[in-house]
Amino acid sequence: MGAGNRRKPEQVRLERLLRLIAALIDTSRFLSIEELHKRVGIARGEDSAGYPENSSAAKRAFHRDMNQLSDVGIPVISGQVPGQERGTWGYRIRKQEYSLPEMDFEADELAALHRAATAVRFDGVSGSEALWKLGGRVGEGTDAELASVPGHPALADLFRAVTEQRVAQFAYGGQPRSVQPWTLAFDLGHWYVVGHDQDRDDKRTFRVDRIDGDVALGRPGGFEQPEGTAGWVPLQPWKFGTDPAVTARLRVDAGQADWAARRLGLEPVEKESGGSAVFEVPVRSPDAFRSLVLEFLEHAEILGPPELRDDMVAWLEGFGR
Amino acid sequence: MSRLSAGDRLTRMLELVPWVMSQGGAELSEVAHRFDYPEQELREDLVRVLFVVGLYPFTPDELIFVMGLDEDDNGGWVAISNADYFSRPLRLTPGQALGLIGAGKALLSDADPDGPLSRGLAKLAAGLGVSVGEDLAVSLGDSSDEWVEPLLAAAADRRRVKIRYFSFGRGQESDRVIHPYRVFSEMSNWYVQGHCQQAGGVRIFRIDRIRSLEVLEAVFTPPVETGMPSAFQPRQADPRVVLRLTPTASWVMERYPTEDLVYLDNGVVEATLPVSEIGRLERLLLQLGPQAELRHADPPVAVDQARLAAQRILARYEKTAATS
Repeated sequence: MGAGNRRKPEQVRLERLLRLIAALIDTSRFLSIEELHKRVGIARGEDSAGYPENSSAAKRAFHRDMNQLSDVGIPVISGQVPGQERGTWGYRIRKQEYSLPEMDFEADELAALHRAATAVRFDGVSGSEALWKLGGRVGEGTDAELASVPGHPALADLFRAVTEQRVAQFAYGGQPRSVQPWTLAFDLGHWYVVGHDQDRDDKRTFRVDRIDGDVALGRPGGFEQPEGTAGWVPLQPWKFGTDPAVTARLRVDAGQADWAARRLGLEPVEKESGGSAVFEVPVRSPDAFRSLVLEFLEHAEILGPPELRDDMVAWLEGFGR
Repeated sequence: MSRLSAGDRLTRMLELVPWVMSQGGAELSEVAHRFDYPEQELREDLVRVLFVVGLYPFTPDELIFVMGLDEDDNGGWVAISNADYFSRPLRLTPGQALGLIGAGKALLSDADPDGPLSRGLAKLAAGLGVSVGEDLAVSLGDSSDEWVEPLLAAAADRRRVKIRYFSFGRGQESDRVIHPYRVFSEMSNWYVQGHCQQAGGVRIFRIDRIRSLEVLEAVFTPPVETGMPSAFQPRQADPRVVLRLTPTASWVMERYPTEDLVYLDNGVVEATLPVSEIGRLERLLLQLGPQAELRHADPPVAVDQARLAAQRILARYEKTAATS
C-alpha cells in the first residue's frame, strides 16, 4: 500500500461517517449527542477517526456530519431521549426506513433497467444512481441518449405525493391549491399532475412548470383515490370543455389515416375505397377540435354535424378570399 | 473511472457492502466495475477504513470483518461480514425512483410484456409501492411503433436502412436510403437522425411517418459525436418569418424555437421563427387565426401563406358540397 501508513483525510472522514451511521442504526432508542460522540469515538491525532475532545468543536463536527447524511438521503429522525431531562434531543435511524425493500432482480432485468436509465435522462433526477442501490450496474448502458426529459424542482416531491397518497399544496395561477394527486405525466414536452382539487371539489390537471414555488406535502395516506380515476389520458383537449358533447364525423386521407388513428386514440368507423378513413370523434370543445383538424391541412375534412363543418368553413374564410 | 466525491464515496460504500455481503464474497475487480469505484481506492477503503468500522467499544468482535485482502495489494477476492446494520442498501430517494421508473416506463413496449425491462420494472414498482400503470405516465411517443426497435438495432449495428417515407409537407412518399445515426424522442414523437443518400446530407425523420423499412447489409461509418440532435433545431438556411402574436398566443414561444423576441405594447410580441417545413408554419397560422399576423416572410413563404393554405382546404370543402 505504498509508503507511509497515514490515511488520507477523506478516508478518516469516511470512517467517522460509517461509524456514526452504524451507531444510529444499532440502537432501539434515541441517542443524545454525547452518547453518539462516545459511540463514534474520540479522535486521537489526524489519522484517527472520531470527534474532537473539545465539546463545542465536537458539536460543530457532529452537525456537519448530520448535514452530510441528510444530503445523501439517509433518514435520521430525532426525538426525546428516554430517561433524560425533558427537552434532551437525540437521534436514530429506523432500519425499516433506511433499508431498500428486498427485490431480488435477475441479471437481465438489471441490465434492462440500466439500459433504460442511460437511454432516457431526466434532468435533475438520476435514475442511474438508483442502480447502485439495486446491486450495481450490470451490462452496458446505451452509448447514445435517446431522450432527455426536462426536469422541475417539484417533480420528486410530486411523485412522492402520488405514490404515498399525500395531499400536495402549492400556488398555481396566483392561488393556493390543495390537490390529491393521482398521476404524474409527461406528455407533449411538459409535465402534468392530475388529481382532485379539494377547494374546487373537481378533477383538475396542472402543468408542473406553472407551479409557483415549493410544494408542501401532507401526511402519507392522506386521501383515498376513487376507483376508475387512475392513469393518464393523453392530451386530447377537444374531449374537455363546457359544451355539450357532439359526435363529429371526420374524413382523413389515406396517407394520414394511421397517424390520425393514433392522434385521436380511435379506430376508424369506416374505411373508404382509396384508403381514406372516417372517424367518429366525441367533441366537447369545438375550438380545440378545429385546431386538431387543421393539423391535417387539406388532408382532412369535417363531414358533420353541419354546425362544426360550417364553423370550419367560416374560420377558413376569415383568412380572406 | 472517475474520482469519487466525498458524498459519492459514502453512498457507494453503503451500496456495495450489502451487495458483497449478499453474495458471500466477490472478486474485487467485479465490485469495482459494478459500482464504478476505482479499484485501488476500493482496496484501500476496504482495508484501511471499513475494516476498522464497528460499534462501541470497538473490540475486535464489534468490528466489521473484511476478509481476503491485505494492505500489500494481495488478494483479489473480498468477503464482508459482522455488519448487520449495513446489510441492506439505502432506499431510493423519490427523485431516483422517479428517474428510474420513468426511464423504464418511457421505453416499455406493449409488444414485450414478459421482457426483462417489463419484469424488472414490475419488481421495482412492487418493492417501492408504486403503481406503475397509474402513478406515472411518460409519453415519449408510441414506443410500440413497429419501426422504433429495428431502427435502434440498426443504429447500434451501423447498418444502412431503406425507408419509404411520407413527407407531410410535400404530401408524398419517397424511397430513401439512410444511415441511422441516432434514434431519439422529442415532444412525444420518435425521430431518427441520419445521413440521407438522396438528400446528400443529414436529415431528421419522424418515425411514425415511415411506411416501410428494410435493414440493408451495407454498413456505414458513424460521424464524430455531434451531441443531442433536435427535431426543432433550425438550420442556417431555413427561411425566417416574423409573427406578431397576441398575449393569448404566447404558448407559441414555448412550443416553437423562436429567435428574436420584440415586446410591443399590451403584451403583443413579435417573434422570429425559422421555418424548416412550410406545412408546420401553415398549421400554426391556421390554428392561431386572428391571434397571429405574419409580418415578414422570406421566400418560399408568402406573406399571405395562411390565406393560400385556407384556400386549399376550402377547395376541398366546396368540392364535397358540390357532389353531395
